[in-house]
Amino acid sequence: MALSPLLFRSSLRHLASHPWQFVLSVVGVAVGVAVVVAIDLANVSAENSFRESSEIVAGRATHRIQGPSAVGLPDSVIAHLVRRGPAQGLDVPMTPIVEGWVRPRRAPEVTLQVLGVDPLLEQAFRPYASEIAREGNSGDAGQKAAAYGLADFLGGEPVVLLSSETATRLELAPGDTFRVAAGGVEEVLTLARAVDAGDNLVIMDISRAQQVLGMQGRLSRIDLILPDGGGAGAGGGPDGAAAHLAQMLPPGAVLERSSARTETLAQMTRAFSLNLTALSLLALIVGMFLTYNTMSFSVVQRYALIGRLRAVGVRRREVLSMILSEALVVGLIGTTLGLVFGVVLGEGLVTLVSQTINDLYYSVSVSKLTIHPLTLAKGIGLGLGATLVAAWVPARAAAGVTATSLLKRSSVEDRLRGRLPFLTALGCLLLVAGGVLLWASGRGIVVAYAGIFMLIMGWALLAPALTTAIVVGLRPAMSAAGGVVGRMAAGSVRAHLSRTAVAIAALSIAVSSVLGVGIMVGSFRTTVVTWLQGALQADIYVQPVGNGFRTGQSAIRADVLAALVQAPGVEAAFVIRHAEVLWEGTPVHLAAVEFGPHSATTLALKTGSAEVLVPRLQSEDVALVSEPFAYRHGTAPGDTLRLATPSGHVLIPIVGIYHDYASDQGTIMMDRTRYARLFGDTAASGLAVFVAPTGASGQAAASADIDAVMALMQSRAGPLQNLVIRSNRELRTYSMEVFDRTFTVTKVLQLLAVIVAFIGILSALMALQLERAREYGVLRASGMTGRQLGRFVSWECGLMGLVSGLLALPLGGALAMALIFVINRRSFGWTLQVDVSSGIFLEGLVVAVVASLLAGILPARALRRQRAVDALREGV
Amino acid sequence: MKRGVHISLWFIVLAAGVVLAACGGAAPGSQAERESGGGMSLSDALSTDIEGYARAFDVARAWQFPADHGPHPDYKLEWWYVTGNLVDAAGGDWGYQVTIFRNAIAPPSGEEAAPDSASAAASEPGAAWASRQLYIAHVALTDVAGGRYRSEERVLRGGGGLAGAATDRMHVWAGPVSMTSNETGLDTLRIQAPVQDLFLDLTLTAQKPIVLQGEEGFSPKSDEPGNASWYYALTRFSAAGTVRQIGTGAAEAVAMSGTGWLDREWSTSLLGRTQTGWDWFSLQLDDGRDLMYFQLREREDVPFVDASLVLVDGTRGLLDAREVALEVLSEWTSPHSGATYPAAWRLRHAGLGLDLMIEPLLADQEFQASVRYWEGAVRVSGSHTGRGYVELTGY
Repeated sequence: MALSPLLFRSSLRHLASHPWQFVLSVVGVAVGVAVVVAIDLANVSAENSFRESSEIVAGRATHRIQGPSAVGLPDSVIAHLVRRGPAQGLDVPMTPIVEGWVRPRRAPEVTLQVLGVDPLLEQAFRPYASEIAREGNSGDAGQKAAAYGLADFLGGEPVVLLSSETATRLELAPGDTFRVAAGGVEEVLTLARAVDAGDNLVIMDISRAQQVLGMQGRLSRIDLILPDGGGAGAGGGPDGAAAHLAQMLPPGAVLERSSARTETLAQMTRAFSLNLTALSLLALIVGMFLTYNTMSFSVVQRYALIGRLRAVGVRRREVLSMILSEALVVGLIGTTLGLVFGVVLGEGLVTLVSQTINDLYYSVSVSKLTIHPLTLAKGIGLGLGATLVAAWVPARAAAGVTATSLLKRSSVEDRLRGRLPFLTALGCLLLVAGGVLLWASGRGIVVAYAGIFMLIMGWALLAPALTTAIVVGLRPAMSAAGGVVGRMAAGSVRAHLSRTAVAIAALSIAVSSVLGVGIMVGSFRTTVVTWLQGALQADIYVQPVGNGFRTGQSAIRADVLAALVQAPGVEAAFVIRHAEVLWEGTPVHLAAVEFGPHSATTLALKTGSAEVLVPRLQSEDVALVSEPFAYRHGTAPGDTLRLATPSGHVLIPIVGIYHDYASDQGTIMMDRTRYARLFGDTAASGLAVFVAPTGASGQAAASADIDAVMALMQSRAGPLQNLVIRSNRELRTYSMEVFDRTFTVTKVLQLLAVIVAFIGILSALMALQLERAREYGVLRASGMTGRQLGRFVSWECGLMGLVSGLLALPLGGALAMALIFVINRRSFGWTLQVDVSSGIFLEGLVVAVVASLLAGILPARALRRQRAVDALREGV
Repeated sequence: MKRGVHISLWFIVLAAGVVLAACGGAAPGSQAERESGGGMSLSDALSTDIEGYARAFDVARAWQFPADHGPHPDYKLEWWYVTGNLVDAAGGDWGYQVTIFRNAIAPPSGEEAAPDSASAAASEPGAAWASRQLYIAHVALTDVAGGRYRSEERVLRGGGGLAGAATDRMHVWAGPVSMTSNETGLDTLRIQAPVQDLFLDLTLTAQKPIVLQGEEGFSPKSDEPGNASWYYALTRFSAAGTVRQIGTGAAEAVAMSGTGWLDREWSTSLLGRTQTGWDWFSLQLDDGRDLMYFQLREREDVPFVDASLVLVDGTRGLLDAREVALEVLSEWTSPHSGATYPAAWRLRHAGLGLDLMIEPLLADQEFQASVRYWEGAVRVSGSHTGRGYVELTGY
């Protein structure tokens, strides 16, 4: 796209003489790119950190043996395999792992992953963990460090290794002691040495890890290195090591690839990441409109010039190249700035994203932003691509200018008007196609989003026609409210449709996305609030301190549980056990609950009735599945779940589906007694307590009674285990906090989209007003005051905002429905109650009008100060 | 001899070497590597760190079987050492060495009730993992006809059921390597040991009773008091069993028969600082007598020697070790380590009319793991014929 010096200078002069226009379109592109890059960075960084730490923890293991349930494996399995394996042809490196999470008291916000290993079997797996077997070197590591050796680790002393970063962060030196809590039970550990390992990793001997995590007699897993991947797959060939292994495993235990687990977990956040990416693309689309607007503007401004250029022999191609080159310059600068801003923004967003992942999915700590080349490439591609695509139509228009047609502005508008039916038809077509895509997208979230984007584009194409219609409809009102100026403003918006329509479309898309997402989040929130109201019937909820999603890891100590249940004032107490069980080799969440009189209310059944199902659940080995589980796995009542238990596989029929918004991964619900018998797991992950009312019978317990029982429970448990004891209201508040935190990223993205749209409307209006400076000059010369002119501009802007807002309402509503009924269902399997307040629509309108008025202030002020004679002198 | 300085700590270094190997350090064996690695300071530390352990002094000991077949955790070091010669169905000669060492890496503390002492408890779920005992298995198999020597070392903790020893009979295991006697005594001893691609499964049947070596089982290793071990042996078993390729069924197992020899020793400190290594002979003569002879080589002095002769009926014959003359006839240099070992001997005892030629069945029987030594099956000829095993350390 080499430009002749003449065209290059011409371009340069145009850009230089319209700096605002140029700057704003650069900013528009920059913000769009920044949002896309930032979200991608946040997603990629969170996933990378997770994968990296998983890889560090997996070491060189190729496979792992996983127990059938939360109980893990009996620790005799490793001795059995090590002692009997070689005779069976299974002489491969294998090592037992006891794994869990603790929180250091000096930094309770940090979650440390405990890796309990046998240092001697460990050697082939993780160099940093076999460091235990290395004696401290009295020469340079200091006397203290040298004091802790293999004998201390093997002997079960509370000595540990920490990764160097973690030791530094916790301000620990070799020989220092520190307190950690696992499930609320505290332990004092001594740092033996800092080693080069993954961040937030605390490595100790298996004997100590069992004690710290309360896993005496159990293993989390066994890591193995199987030659050549252990045969064909995890199943292995008939002669593979895996086949020999399979025969030696206890019932229910499975052999799987080490990477399989990481993959499963990483997949959990797929829908979450995808939704964020889609939202970030929305910002880019708004940015694209902005670029299109600016570029078409700059072409319109130069019709005369281009005509003259064509007259002196400049070819069509060259004009096309000139405009595209300008777009490329805007795109390049905007993209570069966008990348830089995106990284800065990414730093902030990654915290929000990883917080949500920690709240909902798995533990991840992102210590550094992973700036993947692919992320940057995506940003560059989208930035430049979007700019060029947006510039293509104006560039073609410019190339179409002939030497003879020294076009007037009116003929540009005539052309648009001429094409209006075509654009409108195309818009309708896109709307229909988008609707069809949404309807037929099945489980494809990407397809569904494609449908949503088609809806948006279709609606944008309808903008000129709809704007005309609305303006015509509003003209009497405008005339009535604003007199001549009002009527003029209405006419102006309509007359300059080629610019105004684009700005209006950009703003309405931004506003509609705010509306759509707002309605969706609001509906979601209402749904969750309603659900919590039903699901939380007890007065007090007790659980060990730990991460929300990892409740299976920690349990209320049996003695503490007994003390709590027997506390005076407790009328009834119901235990819940959260566990991970293996269903067809896949880890799934199981909630084992104690049903009671409250169950009819707490169970939000989608199919069946509590009166029928609860007795069945108590008397048979049957289960309910949550709605996301049923959707995700395509299961329904009548299907049977094949679950691995310590005594082999069991078949559990599904008898019903219940609503549950706690986990998008899905949950299986069983009666606790039946679960305990099947899985040999009697631990308690939580306790729901009903407090006996002290007042008149039949009345609910007063909050004073509840507080008293809570205090009593705290004093009973306190010395033994650190528990979270919350009242019904506190738990509800906490749940909604987590909910709101989850949507913080979404809100930030919406805000950014509005900023892009605001910049768009600002630049469009400024360009529009400045371009018409000559026209204004005529108006001034014919007696209009600067003040009147300013009012005229404000009216015009206000009208554009109003039109945008009006256009945004149906689109916003449609987006909300698509998000609620298509995207959320497809992504998470949730049914949401639609909750639309008229307030949110009004807000959308106000946002649109206010944004437009604000955007009009600058041009209006400029015009007010302008002298008529100068204005007349202005021009191309 | 020139490498001798650190080898005088042979057994102690055995533990150090294991630890060194465990952290991926230099392949233990050469003196240079030990000096450069972090293990050197450890071996120094360990060599002086015998505090807190029981030691063998020249006092009468009440021997108690089967308890003494089990571990003696008060002592730092202990081993169950079985060697023997086998013949397969095709007449091919084989030699085997199955050794389990127990090594305390810290002295027993008062409250620690030797968690590895009860086999039943140790293999149950919930077996204690905490243990300051390492169990180290050395297994070697010499296939004379195939010209191949296989060896493998395994290091395990004495917890979690991974390794340990029973107290009610001889039952000791380090991972898959195990020795298990019949319930009451040592009438039979089942040896199971994988070594590389082969699995050795032998049942030994005692041909003689237990014999206490040294002076009623007290076996001094230098003139320094305390440098001694408790030492008993069963010098002649008949052996029957199989060697099979790991991963194949019993049908493809190769039947083996031959002999076995068990040495049991425990101590805390064995060698004097001036000792550089030893040459150890266990010879089973075809006339039914078994000869044990060792010399602990001194840096600048005549070796410290001991010997015993076990007669056909299992009683000890009179034998003064100082009257034994040992002459090295040839040497062999290892292509693996570059070390030069004696490779043929003439052993004479005029009073007993012994004039024995001792030659390895295979030159290369060098055990290379966390420690390096030569231990191999030998053929005896000359005035008497027989088979045996020779161990050479400190070369």
